Amino acid sequence: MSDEIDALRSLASGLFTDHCTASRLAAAEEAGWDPELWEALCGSGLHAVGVREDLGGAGGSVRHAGELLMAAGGAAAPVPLAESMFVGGWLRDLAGVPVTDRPVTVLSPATEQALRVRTRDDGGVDVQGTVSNVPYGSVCDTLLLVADDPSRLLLVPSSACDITPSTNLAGEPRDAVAIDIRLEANAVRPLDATVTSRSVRQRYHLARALLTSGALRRVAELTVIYAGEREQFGRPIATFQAVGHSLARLVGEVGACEALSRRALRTGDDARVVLAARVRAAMAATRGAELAHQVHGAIGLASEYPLHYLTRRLWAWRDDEASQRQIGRTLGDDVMGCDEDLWTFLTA
Amino acid sequence: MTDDHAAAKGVRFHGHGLGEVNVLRAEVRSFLRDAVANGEFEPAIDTWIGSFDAAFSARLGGRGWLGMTWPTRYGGGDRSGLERFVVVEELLAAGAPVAAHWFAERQTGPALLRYGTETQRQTYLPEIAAGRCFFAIGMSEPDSGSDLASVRTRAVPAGDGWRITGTKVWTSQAHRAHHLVVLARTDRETARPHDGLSQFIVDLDAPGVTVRPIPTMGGEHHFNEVALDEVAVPREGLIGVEGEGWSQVMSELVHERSGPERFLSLYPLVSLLVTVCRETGDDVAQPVGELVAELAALRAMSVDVAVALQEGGKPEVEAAIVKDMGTEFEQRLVAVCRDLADQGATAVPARVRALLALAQLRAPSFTLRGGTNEILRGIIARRVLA
Repeated sequence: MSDEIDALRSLASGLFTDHCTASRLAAAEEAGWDPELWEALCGSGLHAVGVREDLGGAGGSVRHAGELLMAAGGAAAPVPLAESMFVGGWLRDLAGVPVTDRPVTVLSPATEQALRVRTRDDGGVDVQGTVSNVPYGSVCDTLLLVADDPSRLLLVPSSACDITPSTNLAGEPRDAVAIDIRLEANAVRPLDATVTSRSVRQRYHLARALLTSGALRRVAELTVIYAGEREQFGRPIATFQAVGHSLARLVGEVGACEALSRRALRTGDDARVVLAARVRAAMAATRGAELAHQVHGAIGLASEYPLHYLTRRLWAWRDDEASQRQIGRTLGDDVMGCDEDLWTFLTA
Repeated sequence: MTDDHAAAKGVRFHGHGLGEVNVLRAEVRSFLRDAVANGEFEPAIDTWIGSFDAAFSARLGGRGWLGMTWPTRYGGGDRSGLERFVVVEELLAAGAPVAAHWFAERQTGPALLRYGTETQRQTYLPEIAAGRCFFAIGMSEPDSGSDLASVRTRAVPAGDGWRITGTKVWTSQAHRAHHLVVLARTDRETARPHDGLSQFIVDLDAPGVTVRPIPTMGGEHHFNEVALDEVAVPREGLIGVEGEGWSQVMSELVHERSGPERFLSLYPLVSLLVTVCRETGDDVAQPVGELVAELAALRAMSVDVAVALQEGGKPEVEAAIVKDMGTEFEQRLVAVCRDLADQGATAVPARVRALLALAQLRAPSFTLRGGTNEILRGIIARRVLA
């Protein structure tokens, strides 16, 4: 397994290195995304890791998919890999829906949002309402939505939606999608009862934790390189104790984020680990970005220097789909509300 | 943008699990529940430093939970480091009194296994594993703390052995332990101060040994000053190779630095406060969620180090990261505990308030002991910049 993962990481990193140059990232931010990168990912099957081969996928487990996502985070890859592969691929695999080269995104409306799903007698479904902050809504042909009671995967064509483009802090598409559609039965696929809208939220939390881990690792690398090369007072700034300590703390944040995100990958569906990983990633993003910018000095603020492609993503991903505060609260409510004592909860 | 660079590459965490340990965990929990119910101990904080209970250590030894990873011919259980991890974290989370056997079991035993003679192993290991033989660690001196290689305690050849003269300080539990492991200089003509140091086993009731308490704020006694005045140590008292004490000590430190005691010292207090808040229904979901996230990450990192050690690796930097982040987290946990206690208000029992007071007095030591965090950050930085 770990040889395969190393090979996958190598393949992905080579591809990302070629495509995710600073100028390509700048262009992608103007355009919304990088379709050429997406095409290259499809060419290597990386758009569908974790999806069964008979559905057009590349095969592989959630761990493969997760490691790929970490690599994408490290490259600040401006494509809906989390949405289409990690969340969307997982759902399509479960529902038996074939994967194509066209990216999809997955709606995960915050529970307060008014999205009404009504089942008709003919087995079709009416969907009505507005969802904001849909990742890559304006880029994808198909928006996936999990309806509960019973669990079903709905395939909503974006052409039938009213999309208002918007972006997050990192310039990634986070669009408002207004839906008023009659879906026929063939756009409604049954899912196992264990797959719910809550599962989708959880899958997104894991995706953001993994992306953050990858981006934070790359931020640490850039910072260590910079501190080793930038000279002031006749020597590299890394040789000053205060700067060295900041590097040590930054590397520690990478470690904490990675350890828990990878733990979440290994434990599969353990909600508590996923929530903890997501919260820890948000904390690491805050502390890590702060340390990296402080060590970089003014150059880290310049748009020509690549750090901001990563740190803006770190900041944006902290509160994607749900805020760090809300997720921390969900985890805390889980702890306070369960029968087990805290230690049993932590060591489950 | 994504060019491969060695920086920080070697430092990686994997999110490993402990494997099949549920049966063992349940056994230890059951033992601890019974012990508390029988009044054998009350949950306390920082117990690996401050809660010395010889009888309890002997009970743990009787259960085979000390020296678990050592070969059975030395009284061990030939079990894995991951099983040991489970036992240790359960004991610490329960706030059980583990100070008596702590240093012997965690450090000295493994050192003797790695560097000791067969006689030393036969003499000490079974007794340590039985929870009957206790060691204190004599490293720091009044003029040598972080700069440990500058120790001045001298071991001068005398007959077939040595005579040791010097003063050790901050020696936890030396007033109750049987033996002291002393880091002393055997050779003063070395190029680097790190060379020419040796480790010795000194009997704490030997002539020339004087133990004087160093009370800490709050009036507690676990620290001591140990004065050694020409204390005779036979040849068999040398651990490992003369002159190689430094590298022997350094390899001990990986085991010492990464364990769950680095982030569980205050856990029993947190647990008690969460229980109170559950009963009162106070809204503490936010701080509890955040502390769970931080604790879960630290535990995952500590398990990774344990797995790496189990596989024969030397995860020095990863261990330093666990210690640096873990102890800093422990200190910040005091603020969380104050908030939880504030929320719980009159529902917080007096005993728990007393533990909170003690936590505040003990907290400054968390980031100092076992290598100050400043030193650790230097180690981490040097490695990632290499």
